[in-house]
Amino acid sequence: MKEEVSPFLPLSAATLHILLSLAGEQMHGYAIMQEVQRQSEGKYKLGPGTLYDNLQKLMDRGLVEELGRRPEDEDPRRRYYKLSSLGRGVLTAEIARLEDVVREGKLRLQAKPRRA
Amino acid sequence: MFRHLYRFVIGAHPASFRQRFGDEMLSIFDQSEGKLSRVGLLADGVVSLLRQWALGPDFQQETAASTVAGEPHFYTFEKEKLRAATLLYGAVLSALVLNGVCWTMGYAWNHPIYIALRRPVIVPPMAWSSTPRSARAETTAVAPALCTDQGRVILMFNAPGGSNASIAGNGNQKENVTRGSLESSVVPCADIPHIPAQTGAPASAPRKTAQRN
Repeated sequence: MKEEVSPFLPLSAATLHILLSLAGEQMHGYAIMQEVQRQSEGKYKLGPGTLYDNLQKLMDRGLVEELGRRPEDEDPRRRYYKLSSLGRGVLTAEIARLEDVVREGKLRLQAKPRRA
Repeated sequence: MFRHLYRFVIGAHPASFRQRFGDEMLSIFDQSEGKLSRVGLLADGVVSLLRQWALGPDFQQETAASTVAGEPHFYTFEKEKLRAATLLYGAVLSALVLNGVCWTMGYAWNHPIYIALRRPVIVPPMAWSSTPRSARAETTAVAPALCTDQGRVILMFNAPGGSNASIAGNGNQKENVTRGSLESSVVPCADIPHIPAQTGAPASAPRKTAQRN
């Protein structure tokens, strides 16, 4: 599994936020945009052009799956997306990588600088 | 108006992207509120448009590469599928570059500095009249010289028999004067580019002609 996901790492900021948004539940594009804004506390805003550019790549690579439209939705033009098993594996590997980065960063910052 | 522009931007996307996500993008645009927000979405759409045409997956579509087990394989530029969109992109870019080059050439051609460089140098009669007599005698002395007087051009040349011929005329007339074996015509200064009219002695006053003999 590790060899399978390694070509996708590291993820870009947009890809990471999209996969994180879809990790919880199935969402349509507008909900993904709002979720990304909530995750980043308004610091990272994703436009529809950027969102669908990335969704297209993620679907072509098999990380995200399209579920289609839902007739009961208030806007019938919306399509829903979900994370695939490969996408979940990639997200897990990326979070593990980021945890290593955070741990290493904390160690380095806590260590007192030596005098030359 | 913004919605029309946004629809146009979506319509300019590659067909595969437009058919797949066009409706959803427009749906998100319809849900946005405020002019600023819509301008932001429009800018995002333009960026997406450029990215799709320049870097989109349609441009990087490759033919099936032959793979051999255990051996690395490489993709080359020649193996990429040439698409109509790529040709259109190249044609637009070429037209823009050609237009820019033509505009630059036209601007330089009409620039005052280049016009000054193109202007011919006219040697006044005073300059060639100081030529030594011996040197002047060696020339055939047939070519006329130009000088101007109150908007007229005076042609001066060496006529057979040792007499100077000086022919003058105003702008409305052209005289054909035969003196000796030489024939010339008088033309106004305005007909000859870059010869400024001199102000000085009136036309009826005796003109100072250069002596070549």
